[in-house]
Amino acid sequence: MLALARTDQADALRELLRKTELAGTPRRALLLHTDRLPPALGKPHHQRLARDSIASLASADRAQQFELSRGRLVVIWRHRGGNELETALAALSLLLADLPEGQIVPPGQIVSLYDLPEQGAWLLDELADESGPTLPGAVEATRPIDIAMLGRLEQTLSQADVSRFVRWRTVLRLADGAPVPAWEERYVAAHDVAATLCPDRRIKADPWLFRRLTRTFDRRMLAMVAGPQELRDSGPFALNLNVATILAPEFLRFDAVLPGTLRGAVTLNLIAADILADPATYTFARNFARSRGYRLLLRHASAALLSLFDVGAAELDYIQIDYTPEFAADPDSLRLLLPPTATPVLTGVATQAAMEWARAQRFALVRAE
Amino acid sequence: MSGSPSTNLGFSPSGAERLLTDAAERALRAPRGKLALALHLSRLKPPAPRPHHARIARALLQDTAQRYSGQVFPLRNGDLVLLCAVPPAEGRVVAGQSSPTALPAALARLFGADAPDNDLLTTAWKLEEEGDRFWTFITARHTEAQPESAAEETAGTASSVMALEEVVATAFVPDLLAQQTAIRLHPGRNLPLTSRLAPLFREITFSFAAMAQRQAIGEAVSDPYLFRHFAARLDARMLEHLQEDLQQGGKLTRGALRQNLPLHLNLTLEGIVSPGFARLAATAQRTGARFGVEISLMEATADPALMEYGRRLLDMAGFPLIVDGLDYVGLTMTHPAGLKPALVKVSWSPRLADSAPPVKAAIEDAIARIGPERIVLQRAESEEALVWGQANGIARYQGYYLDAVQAAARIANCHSARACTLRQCVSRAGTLSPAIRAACGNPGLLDMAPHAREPVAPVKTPAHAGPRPH
Repeated sequence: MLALARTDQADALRELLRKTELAGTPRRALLLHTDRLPPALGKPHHQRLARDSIASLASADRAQQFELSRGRLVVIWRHRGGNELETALAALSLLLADLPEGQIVPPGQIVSLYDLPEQGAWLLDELADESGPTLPGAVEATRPIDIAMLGRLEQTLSQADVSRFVRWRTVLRLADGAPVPAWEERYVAAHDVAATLCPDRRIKADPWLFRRLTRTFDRRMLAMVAGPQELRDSGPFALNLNVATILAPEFLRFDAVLPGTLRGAVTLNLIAADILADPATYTFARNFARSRGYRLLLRHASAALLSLFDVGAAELDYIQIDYTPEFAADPDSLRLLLPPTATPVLTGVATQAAMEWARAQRFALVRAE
Repeated sequence: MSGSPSTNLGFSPSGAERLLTDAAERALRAPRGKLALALHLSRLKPPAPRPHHARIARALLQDTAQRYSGQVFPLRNGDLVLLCAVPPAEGRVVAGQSSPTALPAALARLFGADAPDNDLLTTAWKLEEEGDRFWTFITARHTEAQPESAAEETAGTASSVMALEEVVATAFVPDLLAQQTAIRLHPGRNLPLTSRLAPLFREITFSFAAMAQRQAIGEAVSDPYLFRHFAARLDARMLEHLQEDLQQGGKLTRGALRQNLPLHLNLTLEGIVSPGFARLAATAQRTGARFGVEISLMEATADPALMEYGRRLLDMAGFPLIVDGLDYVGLTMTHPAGLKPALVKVSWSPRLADSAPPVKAAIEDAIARIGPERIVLQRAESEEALVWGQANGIARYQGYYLDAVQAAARIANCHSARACTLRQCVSRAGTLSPAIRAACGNPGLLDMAPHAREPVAPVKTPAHAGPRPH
């Protein structure tokens, strides 16, 4: 197989999926998430063993392999009745049996299987964060971020202009005709920050250090959008923020320069764990944001999250639901958990088929990737 | 109007009070169409008012001041006073533009979670009619005792956590560990409290007080994210140490083990999926030690998929799950029962009892959904907490107030307690540090939970049944 750079491989995989869908070619695909191996199997040699365990698939008919970021690996092949897949899964089970006693890993955590072309959209969703162009000869991020590195990143970013790391995603309103833009989501592309400032680090490896780092992203983002002329021609937009940021001086400065035409047209995207870090402060921030005309959105809602977190009681306006195979297979299970008070925004809509599915499911708002 | 402030004040106010007095004097000379509004942040109960309360409130008042030719005065006691013109045509409130007459309602909503009584939050005076009262308010500000200036909240820094991690990595772990016994309160209002207590579990945690003696800790724990990261390092040390101790006969936890009392550990999900947890689970199975694991709901919602996985590990280990970290606000916006926990820990706050009726109703709904029989009211630091809890069907408690009740019962039945204070007995029972516990002359009793069935061994004659609190 050609040794393509990683992003080229993601592009090549996208191209193959597109062709498969167009031609309706039946294929099977396996996605190996070595990044989801349990911590006990977190050493580099475990990653290697996991990859070796699915080597049997390479001998399958028309097998093609694609390297993705975070040590993920996709193999696509034509199934002709062979037992390559069974061999691979058995080898993987052997590896997982090496776990310390008492630990189990559900197979779905490490491996996802797809039937193409029907489930191509789901695999495409997994490529959503493969967008950032990687420089040739880029260093592979292998070491997790640690507290010392966090301190250095905060220091470096404290006065930095983050505009080159800011990306946009559009949330569309599905009306009767063609979809129309509802608002733009602006966010700091964390993987690109890491690729520039600490290419050898996995920036999301410690979820709490990463969340802490997003506070710095928040402040720099607000400083940027509060800059002169920045919002002059802006339409409605959304920002990913932490609750504490809404109460920070940077937000007050942003609020002071927000043009009157955008008052009521800005959405603040929050996550549940951040809300629950200090619920009293959240209610204060929510009430303040409301009084200034902001809307509030809950990110990353899933059935599991909604069974724990009461969106209605938290008085959120929007709820962002990720398009996943589980959800697509059984949309009612999640719908039952949706509070009537919050408008859902479906994210991860990457293909025309997914868009049609969203329309059929009567989603009014989707985020195209 | 008679309150024209032309008289000599008889004292010389300073700072914001001086500026406000001058401005009020001028305003009261031509009071028509003018309004004063005081936001009494000084009346909020701790932990409020916090710096962000003052920051945001001041921005809102400034906004109104700008639109209605006014001025904002931050007083030394934390209150904010707005002096401005009454809007000519009222009734229209545009988003982001609060008219001075709409402000009290807007502020009441803003502070809903922190100020149970809206009437106490603001005072508004129409200067034409109520100038006297406004003047009385101002003069009272000059003579009142000033509260100690609240410590500014320090933001946690990465370096403060690094220093703490170093402390934890090198310290003798038991010196940093605290323990607390949760109890079940049996019914019987007329019986003495001590005869109604039965032990439920003993929680082992890292003691912030003990860490603070070695390294400034405030900064590190004031940031929830740095703290959760730090907590995972703590988990690793605790799991390692408890497992080794259990392997060697459970010297540290003997008191609980003898009484077959479950030991509760606060763990992060990272801790639960770590090899250290698997080793502790295996050792617990071998030795018959009982454990429960407390997980904060914040942790569970951060990664619901990992939570499900962690839950399976707990089930396999036979450790019940306890949901932790619910305060009076979090209680009303979550469904902890969704995790099917054995127990749910709710932190006591006077707000549970004195919130406004709709909030109170939401709290009662939440308790009914969880089931009062599954709730442990923790940080129960006063009798008020017990009174509220019992009125709401709660029978399980944990907190200093109960530590003191238990200590009082121990002292009453202890042959070597002559020189001991209640505080000493509470703090010795509340630690795993051998150095601190060594000061107790009756360690068998120190670890004994109230009404335990097993005989208590006095120091010198292990076979003899010791004193028992009644």
